[in-house]
Amino acid sequence: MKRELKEGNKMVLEKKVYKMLESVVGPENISDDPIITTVYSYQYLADLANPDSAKWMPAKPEAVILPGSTEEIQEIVRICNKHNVKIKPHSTGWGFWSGIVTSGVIQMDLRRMNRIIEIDEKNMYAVVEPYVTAMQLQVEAMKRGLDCAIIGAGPNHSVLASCTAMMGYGDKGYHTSMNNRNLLGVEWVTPTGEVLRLGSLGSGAGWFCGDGPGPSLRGLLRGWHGTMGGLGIFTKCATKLYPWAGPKKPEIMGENPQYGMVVPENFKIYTIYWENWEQQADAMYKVSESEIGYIIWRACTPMMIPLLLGKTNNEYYEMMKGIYDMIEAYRYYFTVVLASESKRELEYQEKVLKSIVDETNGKFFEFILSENAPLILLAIVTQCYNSRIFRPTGQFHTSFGAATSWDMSVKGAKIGEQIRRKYIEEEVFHDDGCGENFWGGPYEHNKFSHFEGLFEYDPIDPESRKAARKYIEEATMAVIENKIGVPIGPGPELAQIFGPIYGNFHSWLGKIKKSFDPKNVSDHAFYAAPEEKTKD
Amino acid sequence: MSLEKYHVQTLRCNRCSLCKWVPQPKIASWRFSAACPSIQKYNFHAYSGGGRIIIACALLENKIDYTDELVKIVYTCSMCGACDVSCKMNYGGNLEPLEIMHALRVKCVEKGRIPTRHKTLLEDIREYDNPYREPRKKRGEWAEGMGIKDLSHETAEVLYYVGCTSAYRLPGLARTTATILQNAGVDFGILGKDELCCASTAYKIGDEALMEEYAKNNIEKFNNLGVKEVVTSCAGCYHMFKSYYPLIGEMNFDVFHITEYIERLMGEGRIKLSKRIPIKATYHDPCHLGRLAEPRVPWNGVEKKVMGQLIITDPPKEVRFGVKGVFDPPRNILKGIPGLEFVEMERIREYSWCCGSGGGVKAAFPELASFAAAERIEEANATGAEALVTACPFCEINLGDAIRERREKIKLYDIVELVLEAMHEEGVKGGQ
Amino acid sequence: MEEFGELKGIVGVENVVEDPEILDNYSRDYSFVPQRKPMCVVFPKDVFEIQKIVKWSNEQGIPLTPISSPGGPRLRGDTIPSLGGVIVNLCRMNRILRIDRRNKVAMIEPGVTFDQLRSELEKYGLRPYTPLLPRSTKSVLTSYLEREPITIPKDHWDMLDPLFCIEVVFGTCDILRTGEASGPGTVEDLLAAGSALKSAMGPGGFDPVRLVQGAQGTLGIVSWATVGVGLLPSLERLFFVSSDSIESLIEFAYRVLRRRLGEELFLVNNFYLANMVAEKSEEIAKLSSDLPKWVLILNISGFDKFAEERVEYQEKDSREIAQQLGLELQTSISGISGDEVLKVLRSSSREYWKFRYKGCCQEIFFLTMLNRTVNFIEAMYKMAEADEYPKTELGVYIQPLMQGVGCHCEFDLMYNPTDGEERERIKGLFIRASENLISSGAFFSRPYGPWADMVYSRDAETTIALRKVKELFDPKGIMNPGKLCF
Repeated sequence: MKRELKEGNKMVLEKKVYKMLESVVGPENISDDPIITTVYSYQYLADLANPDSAKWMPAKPEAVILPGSTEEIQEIVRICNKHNVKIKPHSTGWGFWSGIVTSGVIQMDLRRMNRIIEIDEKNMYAVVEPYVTAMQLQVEAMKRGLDCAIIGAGPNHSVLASCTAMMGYGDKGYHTSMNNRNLLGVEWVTPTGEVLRLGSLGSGAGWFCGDGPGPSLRGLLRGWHGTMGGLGIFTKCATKLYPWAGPKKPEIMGENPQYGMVVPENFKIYTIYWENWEQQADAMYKVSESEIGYIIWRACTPMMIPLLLGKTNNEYYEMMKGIYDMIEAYRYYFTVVLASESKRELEYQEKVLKSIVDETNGKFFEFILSENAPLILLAIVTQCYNSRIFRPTGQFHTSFGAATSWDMSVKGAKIGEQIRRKYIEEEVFHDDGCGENFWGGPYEHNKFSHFEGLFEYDPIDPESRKAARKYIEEATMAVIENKIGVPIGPGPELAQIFGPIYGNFHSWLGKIKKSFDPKNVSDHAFYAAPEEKTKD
Repeated sequence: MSLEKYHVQTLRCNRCSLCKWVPQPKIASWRFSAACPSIQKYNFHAYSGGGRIIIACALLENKIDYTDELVKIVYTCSMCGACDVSCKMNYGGNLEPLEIMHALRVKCVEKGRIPTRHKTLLEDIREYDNPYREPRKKRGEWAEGMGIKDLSHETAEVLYYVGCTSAYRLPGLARTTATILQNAGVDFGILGKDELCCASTAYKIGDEALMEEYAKNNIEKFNNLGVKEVVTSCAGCYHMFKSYYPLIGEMNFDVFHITEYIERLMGEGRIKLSKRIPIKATYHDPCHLGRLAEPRVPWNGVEKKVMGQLIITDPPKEVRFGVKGVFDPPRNILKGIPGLEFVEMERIREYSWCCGSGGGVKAAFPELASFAAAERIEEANATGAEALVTACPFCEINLGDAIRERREKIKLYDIVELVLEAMHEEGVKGGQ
Repeated sequence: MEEFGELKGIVGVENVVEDPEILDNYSRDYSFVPQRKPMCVVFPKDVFEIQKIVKWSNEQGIPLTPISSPGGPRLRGDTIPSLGGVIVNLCRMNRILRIDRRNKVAMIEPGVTFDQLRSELEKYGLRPYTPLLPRSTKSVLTSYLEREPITIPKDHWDMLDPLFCIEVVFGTCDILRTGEASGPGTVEDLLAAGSALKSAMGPGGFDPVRLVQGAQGTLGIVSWATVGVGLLPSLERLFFVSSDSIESLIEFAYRVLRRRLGEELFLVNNFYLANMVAEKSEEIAKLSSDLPKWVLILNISGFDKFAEERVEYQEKDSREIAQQLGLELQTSISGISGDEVLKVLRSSSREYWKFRYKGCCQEIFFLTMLNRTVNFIEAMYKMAEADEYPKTELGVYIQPLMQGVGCHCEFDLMYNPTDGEERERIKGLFIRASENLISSGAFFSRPYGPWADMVYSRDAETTIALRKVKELFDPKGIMNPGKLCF
């Protein structure tokens, strides 16, 4: 599918409007200098918005503004409404959905709003501003015996963004769910500049609940993915936290780039493999049903282990050469981490796990664990190494990945493998040894799961870049044809394509957009254009 | 390597902002999680390591020009390498932020587009052989009355290389170091007024030619002295000798930082730390002694693709992860002082927070230097330490300025002061 | 009436009821919401009939009020047609469409009751998540749409739980299937492809299921839902933990919740527990006076694999926690055994249990956090006392939710509905207490009847936003008008 993006207003930010904005945030927090604005037009996956470039978005912002408070944001939004200036907010700004595709938009960088407002240890939630990262929250939460969800991008992502405006799943979903489901109270500056406080917050009852009174307005701002900056700005949110059975200050050993988390005595890590998808799936269901375990996760072993153990691509390559022929034997696996404050609970869990593995003809996979357990535990608990997936070729992207049942996820993996094969054979993707390189696992004890097909390509190489776009088209069509849920892929042109297939959601989003943002001040590039018509 | 040769690397930044934080697993609190003083102060993405990589890319693709704003962004950076360490944790050698930023500075120098203050610094180095505009003849004055060998006409096993900052700004540091060496019975000498700048400042600003000129000169001079070892108490000079000089010429001597040397002398029983110093102290890892002091292994290979699109180097390139600097010797020394209670800050070793003075920042952007130092003082205070110890005169000056400006109670020491004190000798009393 | 000719054409003559006596039953319930008679009641059989009814309603400007539960007693006023109109009674749609053991999900129509679902699920070794002792005529779907708190907080991850996907006819006449059920193709296509229709998110960038949940039928009418179900335990051991101080039980609850121990977990006061267990008014009073002031119920269960071992370790761990707090796990209390309570929890009687004591009960409930319940309880007792409502007849029920992040806090006021004066006194106390609790930070997330004004008048921005939502999904305002802020 092509991303055909419409040209926006070709406007230059009027000086007087600039001055008004400057009076809100101070001169040091706004800039229309071309050096500053150009830097914001460089993005990961920009090649999907701009096929002729590896990293440059089709447009750059008119100015960049750095608000420091909700009140400043309100004022900015009001000015923009009055003077027809569009806004695109971002938190950490990682990924082309943060960026700008048409002219006439100012970039709102929420970096200055970076506080953890509160961590309620007893009631297990935290309140954060946009620039708080998952790692910052995790370390503070762990001091209180709690843990947070971290998305697959790695812990340098914005907690608030992944709960509200964006999407994302993570390795610990079995225990910490995914952030669509962790969102509690929200403070939201609407596109017209009002402050909407969702749930219990609006009723003056605190942050603990994001739903109600009556219908849940959480349903407006977040579904499969969020608003991607297209419907106002979220300035604070509360997110659910989860019990952490490990030490309040985990011991991190090692040195750059190979760190590890000393495995606490009450933690056990297992990697288990089966002979085929069906056995692995059966085991997944049984383990989840037994409710044992802290983490259950599957990434493509053959690639992930050398990626973790190799400090550079060269080291990775040497290891890959060594294990390439073993790959097939270990592909149907998952990693389980058991953890409990209670010794007897841990013993029980081990017993159950071993019994299930036995029952399903699984085998425990020891060799990588013996001396690498700290590295693997750190990798799973913090996901700090996840962005190594960029390293082999300079960039990766993903496909499939709908939230669905594990059986359907596996179905997707089988289909994904078929599609992927030719791109590997044509050498336009990295031959990572994984037939399908699907990464995912169960959430909330397998209430649902997700499994996304990763692929590594070089966006600097025009052929590889072109292949990536082609593969995504093919994969997306495969998801639709095989009915494996709603695939990953935000943006209005994608909404136009997917919307009619999935309940005309593009039309609903367009109506919501028109109602809440009558002047279309929030840049809709990755949300939905107002008043979108239903495709026949 | 010229900026052009980094073009491909500049397209590999994936805008993840890891460069703004200490390596993720080493984040121990929300408060002290940041790695980069520049982005912490200025906030626009351009001021991060990743931001400067993007600037380099944009310049190479003629999207932007060498404006005043660009110059300001490029040079409001102490070139501390924290971004480089964090980036490489996950991206290995795919891109090298510090090298790219350095190549960007080299380009700025070529274009004549550098801060005015830096132009002056370069001129001063040429004119005076030091960036402080101090007369050459005064360079050795700190040693008067100490009876130290003058290697311009004497020989010794060891050269004590003092460095511009100690010689002209912290003479007490030089005297203390020399006293330690004397008391340990080390056969050493100094160059005095014949000592030249190591050219660290020139290199950091991006004047590679000037640096090479001084490096060649120094290497030749040191070789000609016939010394077996060169010891320095300046972290800045140390990192030049360890990581850049070997690329310039063959060095017939080993290089040590004074902390390495003291640790060795302690092991040999030539230094005994016997006097109690009952203080709670924390240690600031100077960037130039730590992550930046990692030696460079020359590489003239190519990148190639295997297994489809996998990028490897041929031959394999040694990637600098910032871990082969001097981290343990200062700690071992402090832990060896009786009565001293040693506590660590959160940002240490290869992910230490920069004091803010390097890279020409102290001279041209004192507000940034001050900001970074203040942050470090706060971090030191958070440990409950009474004393902040460092092993770099440049860090000492900048941290000292911040302590004075903020009227902080914490006492600042160079490690050699505590060593001398603990050796039962009359040394310079510590603190400000 | 002639205007119902079209309705009769849609659902069949026999499925349109105009009998005044029957209409009278729909005009009121046990809440304090003013009576209003509907014009008729229609009984559709599928989503297409619903859609046609909604279309008719839009054309005629006649409002609709949906009802799913096949019978009462109804307590909240949400099914009274406040502006008249037509009752859409969905009890003909009472099929359990699908049960998926592997994925632990069931697909049900609105008229399916808990009893019905329970007995069907048992055959698969499954059970439904239920609120505390739902009446036998309670619709499962309605319960979940109304966010009634389930009794197993460990499995309540999110306020949406255990609701997954729905098919809804909005006031615009659009039919939307949400989440994984949204497409592509029909439900049959999706099931044939292997979908379990579980994931509730989306489609796209919004969660329409969350908009419909809690809407009291003001946005659309749901024709089916997929819902999460749990495993049927093979072994259960129910424990009581009692204390005169609720604080220590709350602390126990926090620790047990954090450890995810047990299945059913809730706190009640003596009077509430007595109402649950005893059958007659005098028995309730006696039992209530015998019971300790506060009781926490913790049901520890085992399932198939290593059931005994699971119960054993969870019991030991729970006992340790109790011990640390000076509490004790008991298998019986004041002559009631854990098995007895389990039996009560698993069964339903035709008579609604809350009406046994005096004939009627008025609930005041809201959401809060466990550690804040103490203040609300104290305040409620004070207000009851000030109104001369007997302290010994105030029921208190606390249900932890979202795995302990929040809780449902409920106060039950008992009264004789035939005594007009008593009813008025209770109404007065109900109103005053509700206002007071809201002002003190209680979150009335389910604003029935008089609560709606109290809640929405305090949160203007939410009200404005909700009205925009209403405008989008029911522009002509025909879906259950007069409820919430519409």
